[in-house]
Amino acid sequence: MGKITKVLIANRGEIALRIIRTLDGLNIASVAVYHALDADAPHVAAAGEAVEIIGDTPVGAYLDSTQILQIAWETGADAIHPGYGFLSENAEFAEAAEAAGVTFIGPKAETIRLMGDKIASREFVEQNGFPIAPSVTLGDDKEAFKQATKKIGFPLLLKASAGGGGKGMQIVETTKDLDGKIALAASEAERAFGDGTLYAEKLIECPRHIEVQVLGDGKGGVIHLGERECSIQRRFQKVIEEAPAPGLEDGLRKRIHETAVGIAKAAKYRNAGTVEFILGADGAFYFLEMNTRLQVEHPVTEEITGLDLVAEQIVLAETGKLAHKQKDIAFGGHAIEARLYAEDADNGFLPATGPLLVFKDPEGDGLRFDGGVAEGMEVSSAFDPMLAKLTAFGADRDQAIERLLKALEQTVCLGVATNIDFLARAVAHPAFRAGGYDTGFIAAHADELQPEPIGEDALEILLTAARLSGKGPIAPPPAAPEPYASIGEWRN
Amino acid sequence: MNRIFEIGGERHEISPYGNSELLPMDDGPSWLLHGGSSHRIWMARDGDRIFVRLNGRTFEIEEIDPRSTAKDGAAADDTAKAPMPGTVISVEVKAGQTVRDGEVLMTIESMKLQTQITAWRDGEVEAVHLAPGDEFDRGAPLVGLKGEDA
Amino acid sequence: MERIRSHIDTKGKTFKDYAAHNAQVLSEFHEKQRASRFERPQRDLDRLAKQNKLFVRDRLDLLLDPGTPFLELSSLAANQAYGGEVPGAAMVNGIGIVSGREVLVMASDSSVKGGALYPLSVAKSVRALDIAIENRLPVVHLTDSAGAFLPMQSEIFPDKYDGGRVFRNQAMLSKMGVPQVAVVLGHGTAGGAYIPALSDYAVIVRGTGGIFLGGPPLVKAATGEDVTADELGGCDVHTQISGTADYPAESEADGIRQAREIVALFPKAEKSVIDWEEPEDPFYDPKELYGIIPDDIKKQFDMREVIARMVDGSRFHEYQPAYGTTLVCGYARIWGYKVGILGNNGVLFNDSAKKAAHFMQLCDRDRVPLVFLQNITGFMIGKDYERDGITKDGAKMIMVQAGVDVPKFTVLVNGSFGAGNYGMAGRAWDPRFLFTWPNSQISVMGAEQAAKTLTMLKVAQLAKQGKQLSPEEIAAIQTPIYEEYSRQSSAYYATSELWDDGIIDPVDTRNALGISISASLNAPIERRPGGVMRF
Repeated sequence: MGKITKVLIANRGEIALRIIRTLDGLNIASVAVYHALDADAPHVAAAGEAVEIIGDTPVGAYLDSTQILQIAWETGADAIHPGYGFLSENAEFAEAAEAAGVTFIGPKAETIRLMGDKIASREFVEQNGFPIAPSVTLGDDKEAFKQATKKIGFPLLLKASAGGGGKGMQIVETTKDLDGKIALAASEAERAFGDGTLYAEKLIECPRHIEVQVLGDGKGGVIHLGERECSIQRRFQKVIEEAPAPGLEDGLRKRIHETAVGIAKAAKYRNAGTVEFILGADGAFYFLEMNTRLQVEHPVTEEITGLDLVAEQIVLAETGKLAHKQKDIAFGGHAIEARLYAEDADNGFLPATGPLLVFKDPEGDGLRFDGGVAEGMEVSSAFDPMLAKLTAFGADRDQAIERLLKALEQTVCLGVATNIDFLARAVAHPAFRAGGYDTGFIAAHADELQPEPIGEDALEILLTAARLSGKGPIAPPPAAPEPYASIGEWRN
Repeated sequence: MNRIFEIGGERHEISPYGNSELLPMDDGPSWLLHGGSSHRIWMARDGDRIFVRLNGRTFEIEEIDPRSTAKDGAAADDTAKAPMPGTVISVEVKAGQTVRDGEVLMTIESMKLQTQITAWRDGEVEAVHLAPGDEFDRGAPLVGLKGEDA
Repeated sequence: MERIRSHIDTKGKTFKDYAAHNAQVLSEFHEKQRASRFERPQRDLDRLAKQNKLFVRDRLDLLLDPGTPFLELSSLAANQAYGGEVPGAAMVNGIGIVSGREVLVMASDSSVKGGALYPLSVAKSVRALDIAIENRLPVVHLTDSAGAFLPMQSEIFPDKYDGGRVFRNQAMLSKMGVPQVAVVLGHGTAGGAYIPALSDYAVIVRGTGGIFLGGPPLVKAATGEDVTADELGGCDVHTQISGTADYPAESEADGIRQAREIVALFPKAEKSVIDWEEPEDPFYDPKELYGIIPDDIKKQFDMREVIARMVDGSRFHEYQPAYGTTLVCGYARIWGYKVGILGNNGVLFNDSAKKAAHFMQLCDRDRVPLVFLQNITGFMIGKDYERDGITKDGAKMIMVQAGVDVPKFTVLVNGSFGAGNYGMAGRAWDPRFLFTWPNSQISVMGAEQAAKTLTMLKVAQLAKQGKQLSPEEIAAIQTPIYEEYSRQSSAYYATSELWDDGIIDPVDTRNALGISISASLNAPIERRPGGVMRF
């Protein structure tokens, strides 16, 4: 508690840059940490100070809590903002920071620990009277687990207990695949979170992923900042999010908000967090997990509430008091965010790497571009493939969609494959425009979302441009001189 | 020699001659003057990879060395190549081993995602090119099966 | 410049008669050329295929830049020699564009007697290399020759302009800094081995290419050694061990492709700069030439009408239009290049000879190339003219013409008889290129006149011995002379003997001259000091 004068951002990419932006606005000094691969990243130049971190792997550097705390001490930072991912949900890190006298801008370590354990958190939620989806944990007895999964029924979802973001997740269609999928999920989870524990959950029909943004003072005081719909996903990773969720009946919306607030209150939640639910076609919704950090898609909430969530986090960290009452929160307009990934969206969304030869962000009314990369940087397989977030705000959903489509058309990224064109096709798809889609959207419309075949005219233009783009392996010879060029093909 | 470009998995051969013109503008895009009309495009080239944004759509074009097209045919089908850069997590087979169609040969990881490389037909493993922990680039040979006519 | 105003009535009877006649003439020419280029005994084509060799014109297609012109030289060489069995003298030469560069191509035609060298083949090669030297044109050799046709060795080997001259010319080109590349596509035996050896770059095709001073049979005969062509002088021997050739090629296509790359790296041409403007197509249709050239060598036509169908925009600036009217002089542009044209409109008189000499000086001083359009029976003869100094004036014209430094280009449009050929830059006067039209004739005097004259002499001779001849007997003497003369003065005979650089279709003259002028500019043009004398 107490005034924060210098914040170390233990993160990278767009979120690091975004946090620095708020810090600058609040006149708080910023310290960035960066791995050598990120030396040219925008957040490094934007920060007041920047210190290089090293690690066995680039990701490892950003996960090195000791090194980061050392740098916080050396630079005199009195607070750390962990962003999302990396150390943001690492309870030990939160504890170590507090022990070192550095404010951890986020929840208490024990809350992180509770909600970080998917099994424990679900039990907590259930005990407090809130709904959860049927599930079973894989303990030591694999056979018993396999038996129990029969009760849940197929298809079911294997998930990592220690983390989310789609890692360590596998859909299992039949018992035959179970062994193989368990091995795969456990291995992935082990590598991503250091913990291969799994649990199995029923796969809900036509599920919608609805989450609620909450702010808590750590003493039981919690307000919500509305819900977000995050059902456009591929590989369990969100691609397009919007606020508010389209087509939600008011009563249901209210109940979801209240449930989220109730859960956060029960946990005496401190700082910003998000409660995620699965909403079934029948209107029943279940607690999925709580993310004890700022989320990637927070901009859509900021757009419709007019609030700066990072600023709210800082106020909470400084004062321990909520700056607003629930009745003070006003919601207006509609916001949609599209995540730009470096991936080949036309070929299984396989991650792509390459140099950012051209990276031009769009401009226009109601647009917000949160980018973490700059032209000239190399997109490598070392980090997550998300390059930037493009958020469009409009007076209503239709306007937001139009603005987003225009922005996507203007966004230019050359040098590495991205999902920009795919995003445009998805947002323009009638099923998206209508709202009421679910997490199966991308898979269900896979064929329609495929790109059109390249037309003859376009092909000719492309080939001509390619020919003029450079000389290629066999440099073409110079053109014939005059008068030969004008005479053309002639024989006597 | 003709120039060969691959777009969307298809190869196209074109003459190295032509009188179209490319006029780059200061602010980034270029005007392509072709066939009597002008087209606004964004284009960038890195090595033999060419990226073009035309009419709101991004294309990746690869220039193929015309000298390599003739000879390469044979080996291609019998070796699994890495679809993207990453690391080898585990190797399930060794050279000489008989495998069934669909059998897992190795597991690779990239961007925190694991993929299993499975046998595309029944056959005998000719070579495993990498070991667990090895890093590789896109297109790197991973596992080869003995050629069917061998 | 002003456009020539044509006075030809393209709908009149004369035009139509001439056109019909020339249609025949041209169709005969095109058929002869086609046969010479493509008709081959099947067994020769089969042999080529079995040897895995491409036909020479297919090789040229691979070599030359697509969409560019190729000016073939002397396509009908040897058409009246060796029983007609050596069309084109077994080679295809020409000027074209390879990798954006203007070059001279010399390609063996191995579908003709295995590409063997006959006396006229040597003459054609020497002529091609002389063109390369005079115009500083890089050379691409596509060699695939069986070697000299030994039975005729006395006309192939020993003399100054025989076989050795080919290699001497190659050496001179090298000394002048003009690059050469050879692609060895067959066996280069004896002399043939020197072509790649004397070239700056040599590509050799594995399997079919060979370089050796003596082939396997000769080696066996001379030393008893048994060796295959490949072991003796194949690709690997020369590219890996002896260094006689530079680039191994897997196939003909590969070899020719490598040659293209090599040409792309030749030093850039440094061309002489002359007056040039954006070209303009002739205003009058060149096809009208068929209706302008008469059906009889004795009939006259206005050379200006020919000029109008050859030059840019049909524009012509006539010099001294009222003086020496039997010679038309003036400036025009051909494919943009400003040239000085001299064309005959009758016999050469004192004034026309002097006018020619004057005009040629002007052009020479101002670096304007000269184009001669010949249709000349000779200088005027007779007492008055001799007193006026016709011989002296003819000598002036010849002296100036011989001495100009600007390139000269000659086209035999109709007749080329006697000393008129000399004044108007015939073969002996080193025009850079000399082309003829299929209707043209060339001899010291017209066949009819010659036959009459010789018959008259014979009759007079016999009369002295007291013999009188009947009209039939006179005809019997005259007709064979006339026929022999006609045969030897026809364009086909001339081109067969390499007295020109090829018969061309009149409508192709503009392109041929455009290319010729461009090619000639690869050599420097001296600046000649001194003023212009008004003779």
